Amino acid sequence: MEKNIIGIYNDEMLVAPAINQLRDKNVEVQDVYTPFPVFEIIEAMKLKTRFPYFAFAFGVIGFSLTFWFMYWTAVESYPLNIGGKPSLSLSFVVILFVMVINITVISSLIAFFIRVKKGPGSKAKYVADGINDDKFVVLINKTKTMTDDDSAKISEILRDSGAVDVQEN
Amino acid sequence: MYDVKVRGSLIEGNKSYHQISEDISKPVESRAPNWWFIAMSISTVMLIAGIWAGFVTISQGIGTWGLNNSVAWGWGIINFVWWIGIGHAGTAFSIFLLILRQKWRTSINRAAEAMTVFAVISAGIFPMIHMGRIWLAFYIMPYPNSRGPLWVNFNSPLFWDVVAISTYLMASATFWYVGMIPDFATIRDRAKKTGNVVREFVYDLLSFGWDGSTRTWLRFETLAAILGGLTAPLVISVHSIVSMDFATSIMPGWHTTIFPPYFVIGAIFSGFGMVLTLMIIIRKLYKFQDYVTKGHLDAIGRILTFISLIMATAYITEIFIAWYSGSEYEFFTFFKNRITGDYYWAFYAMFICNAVIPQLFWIKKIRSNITIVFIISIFINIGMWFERYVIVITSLSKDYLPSAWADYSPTFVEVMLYVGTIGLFLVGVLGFFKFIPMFASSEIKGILKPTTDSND
Repeated sequence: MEKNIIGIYNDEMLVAPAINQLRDKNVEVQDVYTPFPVFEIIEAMKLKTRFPYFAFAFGVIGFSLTFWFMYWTAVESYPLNIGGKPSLSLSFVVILFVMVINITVISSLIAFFIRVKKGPGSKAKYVADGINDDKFVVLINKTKTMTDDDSAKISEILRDSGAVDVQEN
Repeated sequence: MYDVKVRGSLIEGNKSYHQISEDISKPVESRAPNWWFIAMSISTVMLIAGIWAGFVTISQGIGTWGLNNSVAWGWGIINFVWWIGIGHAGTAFSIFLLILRQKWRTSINRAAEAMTVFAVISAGIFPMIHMGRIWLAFYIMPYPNSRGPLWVNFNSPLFWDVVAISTYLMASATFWYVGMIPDFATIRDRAKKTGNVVREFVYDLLSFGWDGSTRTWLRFETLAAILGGLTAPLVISVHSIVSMDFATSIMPGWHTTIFPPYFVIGAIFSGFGMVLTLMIIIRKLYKFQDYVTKGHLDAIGRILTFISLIMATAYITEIFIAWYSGSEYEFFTFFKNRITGDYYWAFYAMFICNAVIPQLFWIKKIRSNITIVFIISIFINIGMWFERYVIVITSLSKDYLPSAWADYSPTFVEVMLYVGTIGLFLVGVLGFFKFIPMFASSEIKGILKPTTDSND
């Protein structure tokens, strides 16, 4: 089982400076657990996501699939003569518009749950008490090369930066 | 980083993060108050009445309604459009205000989204049941079939409706549920602490293993922005499409290009009216005055004043164009069958409730008197119902041919069907009060301190 050092904070504004200090000492922060999204922490951890690009791709796929389907059904498979109007109609745009949104929403949702590895029945990883309440928790993996001295230093940084509790397991 | 205090504090009472969790989890964790059981019983009775009316309609046919050849759309379509309109508020609130980065939305969005979901479900019942042969409802889905294959008509506004409303329901429900996951995790953790096994099991299942990791939060926020950005145009398109059910026909009073914007703004108006009604109830009965402050109600009041002016403009424009167009049929519909004539009472009920009464919100004293605000919000709900009544009934009852003119009044079955959907809506909303955190605690915690404003 992996061993960790965790620093528990009461104030979210202390966490981002702590992450920066740890990075200065070449300590990698594995993750930070918070009751709400804190943009300073996301920035300090230099996290980025490519999610919007995926969403755009889903939109393009949705557009293509919907257009192909409408074209195949209403123009090729079974063209209906409705008052002599053309089968390939500009009013396709309404369904296209809605279906692009439909398909992008569903695909983005599925992509989100796959990426964060969560879903009905997933068990939450236990890190510390109060994460979904009022605690901000910095988690650092204890690597094999890390000596006791190193972990003591990390604990000290965490404490000095304002952690109310530092735990090792 | 700067801090401009335009509105003052969004959450009152100097809450700590823990206090917010306590407050928001309390209705879920404690026994429901007595009024809740009474309200739930009444709503259930209403729902049962609706199920009875639905059963009668399906087993005996649409002949149990008061429709006739001329007025082929009655309360069914009126109530459908009314509910869809109400269903627009949640998304309008959550998404437009999310995109505009309006932080006061955090206290209201959850309830508004809940309302959306139940209102859209209530709305969906009407067109389904109006088909008469509901067991053939699946014919409206485009799937390869043995009837040709006979595909749906992609140029029909009625089919657009099916696609738009089902997409809207799906997107709104998704947006609502995803937002609730972190709060379910809070309740799960609290249940674990107190040893409530059943609650822990249920909310564990609902919370999808949420652990509050920053990586997940980043993707969560991005997902919220994507869903918000996608659903915002959907709000506009859904009601535009509903309006095209009317506008693409040739009925006098319907065949107008103003319909899509007029319907969209009307929908947002009625939705905001219902949000106001609901928030005042939540605030009062659950003592959430610190979360839904007078400032929130004041803001909704101001928005309603503005939308009410647009509504008035739309009404007046319609009347003006009916005269200016020189079309005698349009003139007849607006001047002889709405402003005067058999249905004048419905027209004035609509105009006074939607365009005149909300103008009282200009007065600050009225905006800050919760009782009057509540009464005005009810008037808006009623007024918007009359708007749909005016549109549907006046145009259909007296069209081009006087020989085809007919009167319409709903039957008991139709009325009960409407009562039933109100029951369904209330059962849903009351269930929401009891089992789901009424505010998005993670969003409220996020706006508690001005320090997290640096992204603006």
